[in-house]
Amino acid sequence: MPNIKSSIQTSLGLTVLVMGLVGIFLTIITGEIYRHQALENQRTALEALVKLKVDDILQDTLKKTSNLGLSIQSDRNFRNAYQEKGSLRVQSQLDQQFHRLHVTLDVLKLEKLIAFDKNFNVVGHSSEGSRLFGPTTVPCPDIVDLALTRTGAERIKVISELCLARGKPVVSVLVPIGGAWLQGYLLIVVDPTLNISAAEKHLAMPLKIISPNKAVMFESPGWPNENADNTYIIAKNTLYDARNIPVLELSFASDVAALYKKLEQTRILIIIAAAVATLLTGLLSLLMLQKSALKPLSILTKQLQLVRQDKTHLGERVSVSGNIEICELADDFNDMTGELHILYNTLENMAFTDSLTGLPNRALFYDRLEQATQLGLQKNAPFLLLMLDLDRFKYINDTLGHHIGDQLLQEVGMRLQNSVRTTDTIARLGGDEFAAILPTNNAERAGVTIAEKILKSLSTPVIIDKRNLTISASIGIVRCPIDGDNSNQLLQRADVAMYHAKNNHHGYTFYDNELDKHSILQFNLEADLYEAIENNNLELYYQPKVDLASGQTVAVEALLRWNHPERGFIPPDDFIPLAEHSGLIHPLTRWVINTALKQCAEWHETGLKIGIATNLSARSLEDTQILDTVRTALRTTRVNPRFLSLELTESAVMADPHRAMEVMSSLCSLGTQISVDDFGTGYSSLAYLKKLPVSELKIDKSFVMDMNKDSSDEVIVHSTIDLAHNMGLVVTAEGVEDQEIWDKLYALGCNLAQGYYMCKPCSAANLSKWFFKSPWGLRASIGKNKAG
Amino acid sequence: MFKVPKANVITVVFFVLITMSHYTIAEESPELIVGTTNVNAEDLIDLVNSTPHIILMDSRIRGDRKQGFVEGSISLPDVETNCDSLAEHIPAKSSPALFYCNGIKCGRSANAIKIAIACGYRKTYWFRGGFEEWLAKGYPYLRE
Repeated sequence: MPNIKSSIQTSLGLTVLVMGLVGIFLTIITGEIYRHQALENQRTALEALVKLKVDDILQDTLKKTSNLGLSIQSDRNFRNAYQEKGSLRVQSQLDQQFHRLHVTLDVLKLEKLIAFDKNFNVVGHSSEGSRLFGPTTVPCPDIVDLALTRTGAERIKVISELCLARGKPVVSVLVPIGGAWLQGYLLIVVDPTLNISAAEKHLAMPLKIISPNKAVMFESPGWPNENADNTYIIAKNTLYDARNIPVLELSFASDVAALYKKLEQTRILIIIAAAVATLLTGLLSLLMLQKSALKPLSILTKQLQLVRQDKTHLGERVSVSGNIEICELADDFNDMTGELHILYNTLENMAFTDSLTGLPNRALFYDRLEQATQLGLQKNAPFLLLMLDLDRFKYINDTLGHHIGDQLLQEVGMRLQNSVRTTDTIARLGGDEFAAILPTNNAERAGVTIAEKILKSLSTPVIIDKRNLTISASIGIVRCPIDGDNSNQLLQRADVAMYHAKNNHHGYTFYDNELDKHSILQFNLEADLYEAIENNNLELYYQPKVDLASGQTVAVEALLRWNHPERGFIPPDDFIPLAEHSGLIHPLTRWVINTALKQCAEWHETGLKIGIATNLSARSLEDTQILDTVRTALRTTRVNPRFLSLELTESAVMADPHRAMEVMSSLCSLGTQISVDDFGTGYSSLAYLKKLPVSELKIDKSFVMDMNKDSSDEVIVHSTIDLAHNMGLVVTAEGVEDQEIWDKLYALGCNLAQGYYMCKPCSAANLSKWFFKSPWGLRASIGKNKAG
Repeated sequence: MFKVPKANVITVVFFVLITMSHYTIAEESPELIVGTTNVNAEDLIDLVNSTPHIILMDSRIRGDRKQGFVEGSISLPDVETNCDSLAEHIPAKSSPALFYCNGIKCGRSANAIKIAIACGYRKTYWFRGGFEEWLAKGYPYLRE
């Protein structure tokens, strides 16, 4: 079925229309049937009337014929002739009677007169009359046969019959001659057509008489022609003889034009009445439906549209009157809209409130910020935008659990709320990030005041589950409209300022243009870096670590290279801090470990049994997944853990020694080597390092490169090597750039050397070649191979 | 009050009188008359067959006979019946003679028979049913 949408009104209208049409159709059909019936009745009535009249005429004709016969037989002259039994005299007498009576009576058309004796021997017959009947033949001899069967008094009775004589309808009457003194019989044969045709005048209807052989015996001048048949009805009457054989067929035509007209008028009147009744009924039905169903439905529909356009109309009640079902629908509608109203309000609250702290959420905050920005521009209403981020919150969350983290956030929310005025907006944007809008005319002073107030409020330790949690926060501050005139710009700059504060442990930082130059670059890079990790667009370079004693390569350090499609080579020092800020450092670390180990496994397959070293960021220590990452990578690549060395910078270790200790111990338990990178740049003491599960120390290249020129550097290198050896650690020197340094290190007993002198960091493919052509490479692999 | 038209009153009175006179005048004739034989229509026809010279006497007045009569009958109204007039039509006192009039409510044939008996006619027949019975049984009749 095609999906045609139409209004209820149209559907109902159509239904009523169809019903009306069916009604009118039935009326017409019924009218037609009744009309037909009326005509049929008329015809039947006419036939009854015609039969009565024709029977009457026939009886009258018989009577007249009978009287005529009795009159003839009683005639003295006829009787005399008859007494003499001379047939010629009888014939002459009969012919005389024939002429006389035929002319004078003019009510009967004589056809034949025959005189019989008592035994029905012909005594004489008229020579006049119809030529059809010969001199000796007796028309309709049946009547004679009937008469012969009679006895006694019956024999003098007059008998008659209607019959066909040689195809001609006649009336035969047999009268006795002599009455009670019975002498013989006289047969009188009459053509009844003349008498019957008089019926046309009696009934005032055109008449047509047909003989059984379809010969037209009489037709009224006014007989309708065939074409006008439909305005006439034909009443038929057939006359039969004693043997029930048709003798005459009479047709009377009755003009029913008037009746037709009357019937037609009645029919039209009925149809008009039916149409008017249908129309009125239809209109009434539609009116009732309109009042009881359509109008209330339309009210409900309108209310629904209103609600759709404006949700504040939810909960408004509509009152309708109509059918029970419609009223119930309206009641249900009202109940539903009421419930929806409550639900909508709840949802709206939920949508704009942070469920944890009860503060406005990000969506509402952005909305308020947009308003404040517009207002600030239009009415010179300056305000401050503060962006706040808790320091080391992730660490708390990871170590103490989200339960504690959530309670901490609630406490922080409360403290922040208490630190600002009621007219200020403070919101939680997500995670440990909060923001505030503070209208003020004195941006600098208010900014400082509020930032310090906030920091002070947070400096009090938070006690959760009997734990004393010390928290701190970093705040970025922008001033509208001085620092920006649209909300996105303000948010971005507040972010920049906040990161600056965090990186520099400033507590709070006001935004200035200098910060931005750097940060815009950072923001773009961040997105690009994300893409690079996703699309595997990064590359690992490898730099060999050569054993000073044997001159053989024992391991390689994997170094991350990012060849930006637009900016070209970007040094790790530029994008690693960015990755650390954005959290991209974790996927990045995973990628590096996986890639390096895969490469290592490839070399191992070709027989190059060398170790591989990768760098871990300080942030990696916060990554709860790091242990799994390393374990999974080792399992997947089937590289023996002892070939993997994880390098952590000295500063990373010292930033959170406790955490570093934990992570390093776990990693060590996997069987990997732990190495302290860039040693000498931090503030660690060898005594502390001794407690850590470290197996290698890498002396920062800044000391090694200047060993030749700066004697203090040489002293540092020397003493470091000695001390490390005392603690049982392997020492690697970075930044070996010439033979001279190589020799000095060799002399100092340094274990491994790394630097341009032997090999620059290069791609895996190039390094593979290097292994075969370099004096440090090939021998190393062969040596190891032989050893293995 | 409504006024009855004078003409109507006269008509009603006239009608009532006619009806009463009918009952008083047209009394049924006696069923039997001593000295005569009662016959019906069929007996009449049989009599004519067995005794063709029988005389049929029509005792009705001339006006009644105009309605029709049994063929071969002789008109002699009872009022004209006496020994002389009878003798004109009946050859002898022993000749059979039949009398009829309109019917059982007609006393003329009874009167005529009584006269004939008184005149000495010995073989009289009375067709008491008369012309009414003749007509009713569908026997042929003549008119003048």
